[in-house]
Amino acid sequence: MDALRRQASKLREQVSKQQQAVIKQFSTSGYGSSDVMVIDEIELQRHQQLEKLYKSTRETRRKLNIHKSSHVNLDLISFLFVCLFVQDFQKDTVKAAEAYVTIGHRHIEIGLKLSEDCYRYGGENHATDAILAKAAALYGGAIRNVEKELEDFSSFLTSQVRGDLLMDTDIVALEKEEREEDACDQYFLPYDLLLEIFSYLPAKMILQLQLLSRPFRRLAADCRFRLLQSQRHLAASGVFIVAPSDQQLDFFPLDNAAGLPPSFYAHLNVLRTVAFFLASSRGLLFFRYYSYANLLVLNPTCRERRMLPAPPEKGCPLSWYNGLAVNFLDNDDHLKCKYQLVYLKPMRSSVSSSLYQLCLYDSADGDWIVDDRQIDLGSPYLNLKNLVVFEGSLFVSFSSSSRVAAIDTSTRHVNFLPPPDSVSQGDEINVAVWEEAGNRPWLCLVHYDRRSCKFTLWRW
Amino acid sequence: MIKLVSGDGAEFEVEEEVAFQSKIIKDIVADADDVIPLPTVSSKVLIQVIEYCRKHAAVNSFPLSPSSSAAAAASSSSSISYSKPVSDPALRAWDNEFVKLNNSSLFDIVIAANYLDIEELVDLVLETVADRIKGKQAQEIRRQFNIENDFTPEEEEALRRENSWAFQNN
Repeated sequence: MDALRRQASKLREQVSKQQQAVIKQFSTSGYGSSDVMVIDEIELQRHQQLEKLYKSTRETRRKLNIHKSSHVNLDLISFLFVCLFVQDFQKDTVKAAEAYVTIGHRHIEIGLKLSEDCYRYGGENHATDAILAKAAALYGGAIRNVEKELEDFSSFLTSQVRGDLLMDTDIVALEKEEREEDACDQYFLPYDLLLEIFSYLPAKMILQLQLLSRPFRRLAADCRFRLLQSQRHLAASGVFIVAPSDQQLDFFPLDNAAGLPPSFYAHLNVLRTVAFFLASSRGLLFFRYYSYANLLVLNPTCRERRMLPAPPEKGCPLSWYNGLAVNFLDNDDHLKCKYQLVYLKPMRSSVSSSLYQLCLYDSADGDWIVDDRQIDLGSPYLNLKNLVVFEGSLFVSFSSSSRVAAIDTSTRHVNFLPPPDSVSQGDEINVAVWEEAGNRPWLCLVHYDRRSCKFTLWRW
Repeated sequence: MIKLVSGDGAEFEVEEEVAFQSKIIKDIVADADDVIPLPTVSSKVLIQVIEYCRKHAAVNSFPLSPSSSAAAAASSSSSISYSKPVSDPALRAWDNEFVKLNNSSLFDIVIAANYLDIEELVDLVLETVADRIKGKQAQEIRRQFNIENDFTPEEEEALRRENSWAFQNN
């Protein structure tokens, strides 16, 4: 008896659950629920819009036809204008029709699902609840018929829209093109990757790109970004100085796109009255002030400047020559740039000394270290011109000779390298490290022929 | 062999030296098993990345012949010679072919390569994209990268004036 009752209550529970499920189905997908009302409202709106548009299109078309048939005073411009008008309306009409069809499809989907559920309910509960099951099955069948009609109507509308309205214009093609372009041309990249991409661009273009947006303006002004950009561009966008020994600085931007603001030359003339030019590296210029113990680092493209301590000159007067080499140390993190400054300091107070000491500045320490060992360059009248650090050696060129000295920075051994054969007396010889993206840097000799005013780049 | 599983569940078996082009995979393999799920990388992109790694792993495993750059030396009696290998021209040519893709594919690759920490591939793609930007107007770049212009016309004009030299062609 107990078991029987349990089974009965279980059955009752099941039935009530199923009834609830049916009610739920009805309320979510059947008529009378708010969800469907929304669809219907949109449907109605679309329908009204469609009707309005269709009417106005027909009206415009009729007007156009009147114009055409009467052949009077048909101004070409107004004709084109009307054409555009018609096209515009047609575009809207097509859009509205398409939206209507999409909504219709959704409606059909929901309806079909409901009818399926009703059928299933009817089949499963045939024995327990005959009336409800029968009603559900009937309702399901009716819904299916309605949805089928609706589907027919939708497909008819679609074919009308595609066939008639679009035959005489190429809106579909145009729109498709537009959509495709939008889809494949717009992406979001993480900011740090964008920063990397932009660092490959020449300085001049970075200045132009400040206009993009506020974040990019900030990016272009970020000194870490500028350093990265300047590192990437290296010699190619750098500034090359031809005749620094006689204080007549000639700047030759090697990359046209890098460029220098014209005001920079005027600025440089002012700067030369207070500071002495030491070196250029990776597009940066290094000066030393006459009156106080500081080095000035200048980025000419963005007119940014920094101060560094000058090499120690205890016991001897300041020597005015371009005895500074800048060595950027490569490391994994591009944004944290480490560099060394190497300075050849004359041993005695006289300029005619042939003995020098190495002074080293490390950006990590922020201070100069003097190496006590002597370096003998042999002749006291060499006039050091430019210094370059490359793979453990220090290369020095002279304004008095076309030879180049190579100083091993660990053994202090000095080795003189002969110039290429075509270099004649009086030509300018500079040592430089040529760096380009994707290749190992190489040491080169920049030869400036004064007679032909030509540059030659020699590669070791 | 190492098994890589893409975000859509496809499995790719690759040799160690190919997979180790990615520093992240190298680190993971060191202290875990040989099946590596890469949920953020789709199989389409992963195929391309593996193709790149396979090529570069094959080239890097052979020692390069002595650099020919010494032949271009200016001075024959120079005591300086180059011992470090320069990049292989054939590999560069292959790289150039590899990046002949549309921008969206390149972006997918660079995001994956950045995630997998394949530095060479990241640099290659970013430089390629930068090359495509070079010489383009701000408006065009905004459209390409989906950047919104948040300057007022006055501000834009002021910026333009401030760096007017940069906008002149020469």
